[in-house]
Amino acid sequence: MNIIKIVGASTLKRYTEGILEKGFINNLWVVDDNNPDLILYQIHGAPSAAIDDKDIISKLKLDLSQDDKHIVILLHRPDEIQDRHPELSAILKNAKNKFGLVFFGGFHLNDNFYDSNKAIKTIIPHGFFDLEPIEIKDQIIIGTHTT
Amino acid sequence: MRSVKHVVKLMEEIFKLNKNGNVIGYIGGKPAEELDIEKLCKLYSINFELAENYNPNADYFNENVVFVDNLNIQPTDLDITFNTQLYYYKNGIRTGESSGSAHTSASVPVVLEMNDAENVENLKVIKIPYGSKDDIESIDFASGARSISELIQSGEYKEWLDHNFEQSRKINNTFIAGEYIKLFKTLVSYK
Repeated sequence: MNIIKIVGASTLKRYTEGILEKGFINNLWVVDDNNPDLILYQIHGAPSAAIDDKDIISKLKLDLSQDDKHIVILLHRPDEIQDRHPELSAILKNAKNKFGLVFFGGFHLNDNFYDSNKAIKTIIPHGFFDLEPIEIKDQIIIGTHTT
Repeated sequence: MRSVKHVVKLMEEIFKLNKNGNVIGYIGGKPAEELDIEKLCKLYSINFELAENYNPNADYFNENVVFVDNLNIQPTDLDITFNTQLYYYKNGIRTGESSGSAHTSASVPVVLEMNDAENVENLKVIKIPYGSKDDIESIDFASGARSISELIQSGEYKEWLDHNFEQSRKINNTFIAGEYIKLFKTLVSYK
């Protein structure tokens, strides 16, 4: 049985638990911080995650310099990440081994900031939470809730 | 980030095209001071009326109403049909948003740009045109409202909701983790 360690800002708690942890458990992996086969780093990029992201990027820098780790990095907001964390570009370029670099969409796939000859870039969709179908009513509701 | 102004502008155009009271606007998730209906009306020269307590069985006929949740608590029985995801960043159209909130209900997302995610996940979305990615003021709300209204008038939005719900069942957490596991296996193959 494989073990995954998932790292991410506290602002990503819902996504981490609702999509990633649940999904790996459904695929018969174990979510645990000890002796992981794979470490999944998430970098959010949101202003509210800036402090956590800095700390996570420091840890990532250390892990990318080591030989024995399988690492995947998920970039939630690639445009904001490069503004707030410009140091990340050099860290990716100096990685010792191949690592996975995941985007939700293709817009930044060829962005120079994320270029690295060690990166295996790929798009993996955000994924849906467990949803119920919307009940069709006479009234149409248009709008937004979250910021 | 999403702007109250953009949602208001879109609603204003939609209300012009749907005067039979079957469309309700909803804005939440912002500080209460940004959601004061009187301030909104003055700020944007609009004439929205507030439904303070949403009731799915109420008759809003001819009220041309906007529902604003000052407490930022979405009523459990309020299902958003068209989920506006009009992101901006630094006065431009945002290009790298995670689009997370589009994945919390099986609604029809209304987007400017969703980082290509709408293609990857094969969702039915309304895409509102804009003049330039660098100019947030170039959004064509009237055109977007027409697209939404056509869907409403034809009833086709029901098929879109079904499609998006089915898609959400496919792109679920098990599928997503499976994609990461494939990537893991690729990494292992390099060792």
